[in-house]
Amino acid sequence: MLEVTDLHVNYGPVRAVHGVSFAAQPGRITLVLGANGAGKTTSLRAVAGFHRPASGTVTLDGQSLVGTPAHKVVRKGMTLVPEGRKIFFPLTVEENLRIGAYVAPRGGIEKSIEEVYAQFPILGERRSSQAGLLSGGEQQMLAFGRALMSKPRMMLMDEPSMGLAPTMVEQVLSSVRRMADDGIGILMVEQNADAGLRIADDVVVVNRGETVWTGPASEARGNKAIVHAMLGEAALDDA
Amino acid sequence: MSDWYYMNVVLIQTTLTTLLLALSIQVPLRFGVFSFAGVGAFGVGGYGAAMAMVHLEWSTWPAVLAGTLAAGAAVFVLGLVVQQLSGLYMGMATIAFTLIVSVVAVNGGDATGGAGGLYGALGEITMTHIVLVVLAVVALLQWTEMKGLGRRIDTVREDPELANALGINIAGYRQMSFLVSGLIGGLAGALTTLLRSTITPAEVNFHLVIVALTAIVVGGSRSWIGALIGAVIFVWLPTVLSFVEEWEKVAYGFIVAAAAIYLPTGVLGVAKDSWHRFRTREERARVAAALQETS
Repeated sequence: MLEVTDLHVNYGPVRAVHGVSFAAQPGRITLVLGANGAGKTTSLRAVAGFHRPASGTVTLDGQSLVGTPAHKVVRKGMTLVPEGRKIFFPLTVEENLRIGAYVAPRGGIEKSIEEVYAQFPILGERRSSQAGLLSGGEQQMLAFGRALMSKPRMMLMDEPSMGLAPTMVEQVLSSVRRMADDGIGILMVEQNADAGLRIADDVVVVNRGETVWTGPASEARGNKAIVHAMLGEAALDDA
Repeated sequence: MSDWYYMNVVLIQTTLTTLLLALSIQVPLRFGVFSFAGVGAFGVGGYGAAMAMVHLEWSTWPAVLAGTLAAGAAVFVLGLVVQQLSGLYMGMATIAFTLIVSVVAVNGGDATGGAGGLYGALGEITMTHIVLVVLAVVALLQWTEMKGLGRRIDTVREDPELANALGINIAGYRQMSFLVSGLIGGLAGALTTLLRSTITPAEVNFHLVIVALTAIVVGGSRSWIGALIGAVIFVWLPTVLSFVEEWEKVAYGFIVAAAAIYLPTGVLGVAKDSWHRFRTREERARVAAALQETS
């Protein structure tokens, strides 16, 4: 379980995050909602070790991660799927997956690749195509597959549906659901609140750098007023 | 063949030492570090080796080793200091390091021979020695370009944040590139100095930055083969251009500018691209033919 308590992150004199707390359970999708600039991505990146928090605690299965640099956080079983997919276009699908195997034990790489193909059959079919020729949704799945190569217990995702066609959003998010059903804990920042709420189990609403609401997704879904209040009128009307 | 070889032995040696100098700049670039510290390392290595021979009366190879290690250590420490910088600022800081090396050399009194430099450091270095040393360096770099490690280095350069997210310690990789750059630059300086028997502060200057950078820009910045192509062009072009006499420098400048504009990925990059295009065309033709047969 990932537990974040009273997280504070500053960019120089700017207090970007001041009081974010939540817990993300294995096998469940925890959705972080909030308006632009609310501190969602900053919190996610601080949890992943890219920013050092000014104060607060971050623990994964009871082990503190504060001060652990990003590349070591991966070895502790938590990996960040960064915003914008970041696939290497000239390389093949399989070569992209191999880049993700940096922290994997040597002997297990081939097996891990086959497991990714079992999870995402489309990647298996296109294993030797150039990654640049994949659709946006397939590239996002490749980014998930690459992250899975390090065998994480907890995955952090920054805007996985960004820039995807509506039909692709469904496919990508249902693949996130499948990964959670396999037992991986997922902490996801998603602008597309409506689509995110359809697959999420738990919701954390962040506003102006603070957690303002946490609860089960069913309650957030049933109580649109909560989300309206936090995200402004436009958030659900768009979706 | 042998006549040609004896006439051009100095040019061949210069090509190989220029290759090492170019590699000392190329290695950090491959890691996404815009560092010219390899040129300062050239100075440290050259002076280190010359001082070991002249003052301590060491023999050739211990002196080369001393110069190389001193340069590696100096650039490694520099790397720790400038680690936080990036882009142009990193470039400026590392050029400053090169200028500091030459200032120290000018003001080093008897130790460095001051503005006149050090004389009489003639090493016993044969062509075979140089070739073996260069082969060893190239073999090491070839290994860093191979699939697994090469991809990781590419990832560190192209997308440091992704590299971090995948568990790669980018700070460690970059620091390593400083060490390797310092060692190779130092080796280039030590060999060059002991071949010529002399080094002066004027030789450790901004023009070496240009030499190394042009060799990589013209040849190709992603592989040692590009640096080799660049070194060959850079060292041999003036002799080929000698027929234009006093216009040599102008012609040379035009060729370098044209290469920078029309060969953005260097000679090696363009060659690779056309090979790739040729292969893709073949592949397409094969698929089209197969389709025609089935229909």
